[in-house]
Amino acid sequence: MNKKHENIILNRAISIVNSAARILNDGIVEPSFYPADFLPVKNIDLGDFASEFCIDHNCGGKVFLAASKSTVQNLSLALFGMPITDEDGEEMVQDGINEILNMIIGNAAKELEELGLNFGETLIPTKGRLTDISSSSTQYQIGVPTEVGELSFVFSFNNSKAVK
Amino acid sequence: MAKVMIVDDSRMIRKALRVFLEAGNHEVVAEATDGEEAVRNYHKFKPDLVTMDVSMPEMSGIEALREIIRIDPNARVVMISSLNQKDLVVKAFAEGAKNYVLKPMSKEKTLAVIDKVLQE
Repeated sequence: MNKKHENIILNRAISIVNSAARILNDGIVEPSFYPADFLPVKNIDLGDFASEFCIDHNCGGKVFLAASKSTVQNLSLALFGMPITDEDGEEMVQDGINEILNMIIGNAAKELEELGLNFGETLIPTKGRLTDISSSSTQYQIGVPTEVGELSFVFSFNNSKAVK
Repeated sequence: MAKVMIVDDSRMIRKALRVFLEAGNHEVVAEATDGEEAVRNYHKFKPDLVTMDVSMPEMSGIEALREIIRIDPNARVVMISSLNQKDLVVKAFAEGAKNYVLKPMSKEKTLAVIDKVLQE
């Protein structure tokens, strides 16, 4: 992967994480994003709950948002003023993280479009380790600490796709 | 107190809106998870106001809004949208929506918009 490709990925990641900061800033500590933390990784453990979103045409690029069950429950309370309890079931928790990622991507959409991306709206609930990502893709992870727990953003890009 | 129908494909958003509306002493008379169900339920329950998600499977919020306005030109529909859906919200206003609420929505802001629409 060349430097230009890495910079493009970094810009995309910054847009998305900054959108998360804008949303999360309402009552929650603004997450700090350190470029030095943006490292390529493999075989990422997504934790309890995750959602996958297509941020490039043909899903050549994807972003996963992962968080523990308690973090999603607390985020729902902080963002929507509505608690998700254990009685609501795991479906509601998964729904919660889908909504949160959808909002974050929605906020980042404008910046991503300015970078020349046709971002998609595929939202796929995903749990567990990222073992289904093929060796032809590269994954980067950013951990975003908040008052209610850590969010993990995982960016996955298919190396064979052309990058704008 | 108003009779309200909630239309959203997200269980979490439907629950949040129900909690907000009941806290504001409104009655949730129906829910719908897509536009087609929303139109059917509008016929059946005749709510005073509808909260409508902009993006839904099968029939979108805009299409459902159009159908509901066709049935009842005085229908009060408040759109629920994300920040990147501004163009769709503008389109919704052109189709007859009365107001909108952006996600993440707070109870106070949601009730303020709904109460404003009900008073108009």
